[in-house]
Amino acid sequence: MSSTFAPQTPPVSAPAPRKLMTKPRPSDQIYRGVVTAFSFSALIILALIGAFLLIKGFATFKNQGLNFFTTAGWSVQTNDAGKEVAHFGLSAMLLGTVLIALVALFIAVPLSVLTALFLTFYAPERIRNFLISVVDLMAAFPSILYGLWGFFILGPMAEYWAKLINKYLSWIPFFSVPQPSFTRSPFIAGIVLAVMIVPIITSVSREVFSQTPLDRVQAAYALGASKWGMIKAVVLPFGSSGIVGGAMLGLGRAFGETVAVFSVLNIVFRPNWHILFTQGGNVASMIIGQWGEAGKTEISALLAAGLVLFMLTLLVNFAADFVVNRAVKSGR
Amino acid sequence: MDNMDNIDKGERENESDMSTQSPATKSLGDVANKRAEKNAAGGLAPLGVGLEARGVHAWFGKHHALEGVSLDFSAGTVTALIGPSGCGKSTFIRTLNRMHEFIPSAAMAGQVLLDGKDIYEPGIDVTKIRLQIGMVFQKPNPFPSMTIGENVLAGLKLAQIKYDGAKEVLLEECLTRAGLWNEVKDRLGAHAGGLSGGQQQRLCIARALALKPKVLLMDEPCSALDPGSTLRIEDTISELSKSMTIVIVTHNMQQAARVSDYTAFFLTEGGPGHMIEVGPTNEIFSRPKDERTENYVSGRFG
Amino acid sequence: MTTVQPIRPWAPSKQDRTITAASVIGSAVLTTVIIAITPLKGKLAYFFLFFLLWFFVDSVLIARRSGSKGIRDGLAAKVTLFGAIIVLLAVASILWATVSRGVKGLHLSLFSHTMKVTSFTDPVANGGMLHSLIGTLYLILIAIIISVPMGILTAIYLTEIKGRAAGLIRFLVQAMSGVPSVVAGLFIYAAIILNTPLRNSAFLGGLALTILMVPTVTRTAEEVLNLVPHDLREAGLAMGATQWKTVALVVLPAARSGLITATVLGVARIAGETAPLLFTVGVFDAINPNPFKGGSGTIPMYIWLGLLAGTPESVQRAWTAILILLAVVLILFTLARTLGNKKIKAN
Repeated sequence: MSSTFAPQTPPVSAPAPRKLMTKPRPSDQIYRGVVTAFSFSALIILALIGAFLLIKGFATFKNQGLNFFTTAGWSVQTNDAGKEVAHFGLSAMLLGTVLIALVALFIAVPLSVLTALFLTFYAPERIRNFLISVVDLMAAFPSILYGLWGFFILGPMAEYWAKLINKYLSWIPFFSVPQPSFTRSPFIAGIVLAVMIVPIITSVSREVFSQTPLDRVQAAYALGASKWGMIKAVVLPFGSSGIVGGAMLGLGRAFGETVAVFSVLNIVFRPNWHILFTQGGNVASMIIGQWGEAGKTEISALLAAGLVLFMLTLLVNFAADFVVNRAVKSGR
Repeated sequence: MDNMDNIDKGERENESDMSTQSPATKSLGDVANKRAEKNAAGGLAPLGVGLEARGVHAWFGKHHALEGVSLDFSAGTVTALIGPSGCGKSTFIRTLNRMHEFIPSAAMAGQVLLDGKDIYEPGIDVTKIRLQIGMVFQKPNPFPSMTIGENVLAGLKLAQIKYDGAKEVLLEECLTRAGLWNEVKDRLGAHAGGLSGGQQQRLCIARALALKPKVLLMDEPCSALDPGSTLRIEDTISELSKSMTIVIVTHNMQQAARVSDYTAFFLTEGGPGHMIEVGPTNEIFSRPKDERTENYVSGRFG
Repeated sequence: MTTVQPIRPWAPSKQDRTITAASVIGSAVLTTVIIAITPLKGKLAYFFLFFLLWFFVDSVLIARRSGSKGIRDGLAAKVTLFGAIIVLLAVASILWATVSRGVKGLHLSLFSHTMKVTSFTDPVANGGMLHSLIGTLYLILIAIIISVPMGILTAIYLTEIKGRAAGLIRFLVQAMSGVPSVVAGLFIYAAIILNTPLRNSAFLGGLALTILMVPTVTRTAEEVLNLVPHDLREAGLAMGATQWKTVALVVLPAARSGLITATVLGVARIAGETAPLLFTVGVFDAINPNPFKGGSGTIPMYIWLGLLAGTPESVQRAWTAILILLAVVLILFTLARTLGNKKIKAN
């Protein structure tokens, strides 16, 4: 409601801007201090993880040098002089980790994008809400459940698929195998990981898709676009960085997954890029595989491997965060 | 122009005539007579008979947003829809090319006839309707990932139309008609985001023109623009009106007076929005029949 | 008033629905016939053949109305649907496997006995997982006690204080949620077991799980606190309350059910974590009432041992335990959903 009195013009003099200052009361200062201190716990924990793994794994980095990253093998022997000779090399595990994660991404990204498109643009409302719950629930499944399912249910099926792929596509180097043995392969581990990261990629993609500027969507429809035409012209260009970011978050999860991969993968310290073949590597699973019988020297090496894994996932997550945030902010 | 003579007047409908196809219309003197003459002669305007709304209602969920609007837009005319915010004029214009249905809870009733054929008929391909009835929105919305040239031709790609002629010719023609050619002819490969707001809006008009629509709907096309850009768009509208039917929603009464042949006044009085009055623009602004219209155009409210 | 009925001419009509249903059923029948008379076999064959036939049949129907544009649009709709169906099939397969296999090993003594005198390879009816249930409960309680205050205080920093470091903190919390669970376990081992006299215990397991739980709690709590209407805060401050009293007496109570949701989601996240427990909790076959000393049984480790032992009996135990774990996660999840919905309705 507008007021009716006539405005009075005050004498004109450029007023100096007044600074608004409130001095917090002591109780508020304590409150702010405590809350701020606690909020830095994430920073402190991340720093401590890096620090302790580095301190305890330092001996391994020192002894093995670059070989730790470039050679394959894992042995501690006592030589004739009674001295420990250790060789730790992660190359097969690093290769395997990346290989499995790529297989997982290759399967999960298309599935997730399709699912996200279906949820955002095609599904009737009731089905949509149900499916969103299902996808969220998938993210809450314990990883050991995926391990059990992967070993007992998926394994035999995927072995059959692997044989089919090998039969018809073995001229592609990736799909050839040195011997016809298809169990516990990176391929199977990749499928299990794919199912595990589908909810991550789906929900990030869905979020970005649903933020597609409405005016662009309307512009496409007003130009006579079909739904698919609209998606191709507007949603996918807008959402592409969201898909990339979601895929990278999924990649981070795939790098660090432990028990599910351990359950379905035959871990061998030999670099193997035949994805259908029954040999693979994965840093995280290797750590729990070797832990049981590890002595002092080996524990140091496993902690060092943990540090490598930590830095790797941190890097991927930072990159993912960057991409997703840029996608959401830039509005493009 | 002989096709600028007929505009029909619909108004708040009574229960009785809602179910029929031709709702009661109030005579508007000359206009209605001319229309009757024309119908009797059976003459079709060279641009088709235009667009006719028959008892159009619109709902959002339970909210009844628009009530019983019957209005004819005869071919080659410019009709302005005016009225205060929330009176349903934007909702109405969006029912005219079936953009209304994108709101999930939306529902409607009535008919919209394009050249005598109901665009809401079951089994009709809605994307083909929108090719014939183009739309320009309040906020300029070029596709930012495309260049200026790609934007103009985006409709052909989106609607998957094979264009027989040279695309360069079409590009120049559309941009010229939208009054943008001279400004952008040297940078057709630049991204559309670099244009000013007014240029972007004219680009959107050019984009709509590339599909050669019979009708162009404009939903407050100048409300986000500065006065200079607004004038240029108005020039463009006058130019376009020679070859197509234009419906424009505007808040700006001077604009309505400048560009339109006919003006329809919409209002909500607590309930659903409805049309109060329609007539030749000069009559609506100089001697409206309804007191509420007079109050509005004289600036007493709204 | 008007008697005009709202209609939706754009919604599929009864005829459209019939045609869709007919084309789906027709394609399904055709698929079965083709698979029966040709050497094709297997689930994959059914799946892809059905898809191809359905696409073909539907395209013929669409083409009349909308031409090639309509066919492409229909193909896109079907492909996205099939993507969603594959995901749904995976979930269904996981759930079905768990329920159908787990049910066989369910019996009451699971909840009253331990594995103190029983081996995993013994017949399934012997022994139980009471010790694991209690151990997991300990772990969850410890993780809640530490991570809920930590997460909520961090969320308060992000939403109420909005300090200069808020962007950085949010970024770090996101990074922390990506820490692999195995690294969390290794960290507790490297930091505590190698440096202090403390050895494997439920407490250390709880610490490791805290690292995994804090990001979930923080992010959910932040979302919830952001939903608290701004005028509530201003009302508190306007009455002369200090900022912390406003937060403690107005904001947090208003967000209570949302904060419980945050906690529940955090618990669901960690309840099934296995890898960190290998380094921090170890195993124990009987009830260990002391969470600070000695290993402890936990549900994930119970499953893990059952899987590793590899006999039909031990694997049966693993499936049954995973069924119970899944039921717990499902209940928590539903709880979080219900509370979350209530919160939204209340506003």
